[in-house]
Amino acid sequence: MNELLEQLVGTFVPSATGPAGRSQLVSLCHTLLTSRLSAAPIPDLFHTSEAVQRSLARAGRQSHAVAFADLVRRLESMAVVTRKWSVVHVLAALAETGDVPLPAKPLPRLLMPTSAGAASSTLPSAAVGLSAAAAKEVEMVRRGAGEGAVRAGSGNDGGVSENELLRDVIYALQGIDGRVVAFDKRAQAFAVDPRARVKAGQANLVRRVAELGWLYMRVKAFVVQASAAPSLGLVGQALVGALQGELAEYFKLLAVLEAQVAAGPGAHGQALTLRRLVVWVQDPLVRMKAVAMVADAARGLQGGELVSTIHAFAKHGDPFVAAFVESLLEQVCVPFFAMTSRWMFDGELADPFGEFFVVPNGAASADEAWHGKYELVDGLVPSFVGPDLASDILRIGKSVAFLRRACGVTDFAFDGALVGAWEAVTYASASSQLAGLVAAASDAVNAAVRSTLLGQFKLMPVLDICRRYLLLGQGDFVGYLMELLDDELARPASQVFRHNLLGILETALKSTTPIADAELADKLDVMLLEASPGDIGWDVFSLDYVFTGPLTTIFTNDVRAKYLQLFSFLWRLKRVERHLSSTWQRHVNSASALRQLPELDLVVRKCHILRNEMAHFVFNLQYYIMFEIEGAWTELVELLTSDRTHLDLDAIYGAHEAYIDRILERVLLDGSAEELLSLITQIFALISKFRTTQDVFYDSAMGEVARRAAAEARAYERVLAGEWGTTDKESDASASSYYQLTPQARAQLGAFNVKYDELVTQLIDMLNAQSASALRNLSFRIDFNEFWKSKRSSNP
Amino acid sequence: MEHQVQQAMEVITEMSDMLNTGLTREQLALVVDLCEKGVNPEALAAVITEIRREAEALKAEAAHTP
Repeated sequence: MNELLEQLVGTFVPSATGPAGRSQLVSLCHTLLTSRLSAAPIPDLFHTSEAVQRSLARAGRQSHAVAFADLVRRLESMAVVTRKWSVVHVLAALAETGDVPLPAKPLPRLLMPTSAGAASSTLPSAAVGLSAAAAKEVEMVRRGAGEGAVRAGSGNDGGVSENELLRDVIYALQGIDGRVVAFDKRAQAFAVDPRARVKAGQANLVRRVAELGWLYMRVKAFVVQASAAPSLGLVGQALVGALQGELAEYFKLLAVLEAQVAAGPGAHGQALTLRRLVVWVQDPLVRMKAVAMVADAARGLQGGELVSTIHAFAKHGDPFVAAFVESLLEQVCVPFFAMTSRWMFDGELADPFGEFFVVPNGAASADEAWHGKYELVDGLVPSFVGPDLASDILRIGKSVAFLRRACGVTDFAFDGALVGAWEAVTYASASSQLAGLVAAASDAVNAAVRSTLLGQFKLMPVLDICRRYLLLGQGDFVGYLMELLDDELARPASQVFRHNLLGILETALKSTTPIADAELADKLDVMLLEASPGDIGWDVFSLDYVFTGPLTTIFTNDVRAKYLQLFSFLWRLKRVERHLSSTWQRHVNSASALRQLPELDLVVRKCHILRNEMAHFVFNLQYYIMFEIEGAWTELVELLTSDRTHLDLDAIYGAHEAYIDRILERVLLDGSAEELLSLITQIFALISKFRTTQDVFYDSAMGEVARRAAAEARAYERVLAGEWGTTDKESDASASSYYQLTPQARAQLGAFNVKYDELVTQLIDMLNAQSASALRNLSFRIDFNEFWKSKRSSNP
Repeated sequence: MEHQVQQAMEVITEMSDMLNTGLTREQLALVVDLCEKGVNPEALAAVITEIRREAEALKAEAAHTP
């Protein structure tokens, strides 16, 4: 090789110059050739020729470019030259140097050692067409050559220098392919180019560092993808922001590393080596692993779900990772807490992306402002909040919205200290403070709701009116109203008109114990149920109450239907009671007259006994019902007026519903005791029938009394006229119907009696079989002296 | 064989002219030989530039010291 070099030098340097200079030059050239200059970019003929063609084309020599391509093709087909690329590369590197006079600057150290380093550094590398890196190498070698020492990059002849590997690795850390280290899409990892001559150990180190680059690419991809998604949401934005912060930190680290690499080996004693780099990136690697882990898990998630997912990582066993996740949560939770506080303190949803765990139900009507308008989405409740707190938060917001919108309370506000404390809540303090703050807010708003309902909206008086009027607790009113309605309601249902009834209701209200609050009394209303054919006024009449404003939240349509159901049952019971009292009236009024008909004594007595039995049953049923209503009522009043602050609107509603349900259950209307109810209904029907039968019987008996009186009067007249007082004809004709009546009535009454006995016995048996003590109590009331029991045992 | 070498040299010379490297035919032959020996082309280019520079310097020296 030396010979060739000498020849080469000889072609340039005139032989006149001294052999000493020439040999020196040759040895320098040798050093340059054997030293590890930067490896050629890519040993690819096509690539190089392309580059040359491009530069020719740029210089406006299109034809030359084409001609050059042709030449390269010709060269390619020749077997003589084996290293075609090298030749072309040398030519390309020396392009345009032929007629440029190079600065005639001698190598200072080489030829003039006395003026060392004077102006050696200015090499017009750009003009030479050499890469900057190569020029630098030349410079280095020249310096080294002056001292006679040859510096070899890594001692790995023809391989890749460590410094170069480092540079590539730094590229890889930024997700960029380097010359030797490139991203392998198939393996999804950075790998050293197998064609490059890199020691296995070094390649291994490179791989270990480059893992960080792979992680970075994942995170970066997530950040890019997530920020482009239209449904990212506020929590997602916070996460992306936090991750970007992480990446910024990472870039700072890269900048430092890059500076170290650029400073080059040998600049300081502490040069950067691959091995050192592996150690240095350990911590960032762990951190980036955590970041990538979170980013992977967060893909496609939103809002509360996202927070929960990240929160799961906070339990990571590695304290380093756990701390990182916590700091991340700190940032991610900011929008979540902002949404929560907006909801809790203003009752408003500020959730454009549907991330909050409270969602409005669009289908809910205005009446359902409390019960159906807002719903909890379990999946969006962050795991550190938990379902209990979430439902508390839901209720607080609902209560605030209820106060502001339904009740029109505008001046309600939370305690400033509470709001302040809430604003300061971060993820770190959430676990210790959240429950306390929510409880405090809950207490405050519940107290406000309760006092508004009880005060401004007079919940207790309204409930009292419902009990006294809808549940017929006000005896004098009910009695009087029935009396007034008697004529009106006896008509067929189609001829009963609400406006007439309203007038009667008003009269009844005016003439009985007045309601303290006239405004509330006005809301009592009459409602006519849907009539089925054959119904009379009594069957469709119902009292109602017009609930307005926030009270509709407590008296929902469901609850009102229950009141109507109760009313219609109690109304029927009252009517039966009224029937019995009318038969009693009849009995008393005609008792002295009937004494004239001693043959009827037995029947009348039987009537009397049966009526008494019936009255006993009806009264006891009524006592039982009133007792149950009063019991439930006392409990309700106690619950609502006690000073327990945890009574929220749900609890108030629930207490009232429980009160109504309890009454319904005791009155056997809740559907669980159909048979009992049907027995009672049958007894009611029997009583009505009994009443009509007795009426007919009394009518005819009274007719007989009148007939006898008339006959007697006529006989007296005839006696006065001097005739016979009685004629057989007369008495026989009219008495025959009367004498037929007695056995008929007796038979009918006997049948009633048997039927009634049967029904009541059955009822008592059934009541005794019930598990509810209240019903057994009813059976005891009806059969207090074991009258039915003895009857049953004597007459099985 | 000889003919082929001749042809190759012609092509290379043509390229060299087109790129205006300023290398003579003799020098090109030497470059090809060196390349065939497996020399790093980048380094070779650097060497040539160096030699040129030295030659200029020597020439200048010779001119100053006749």
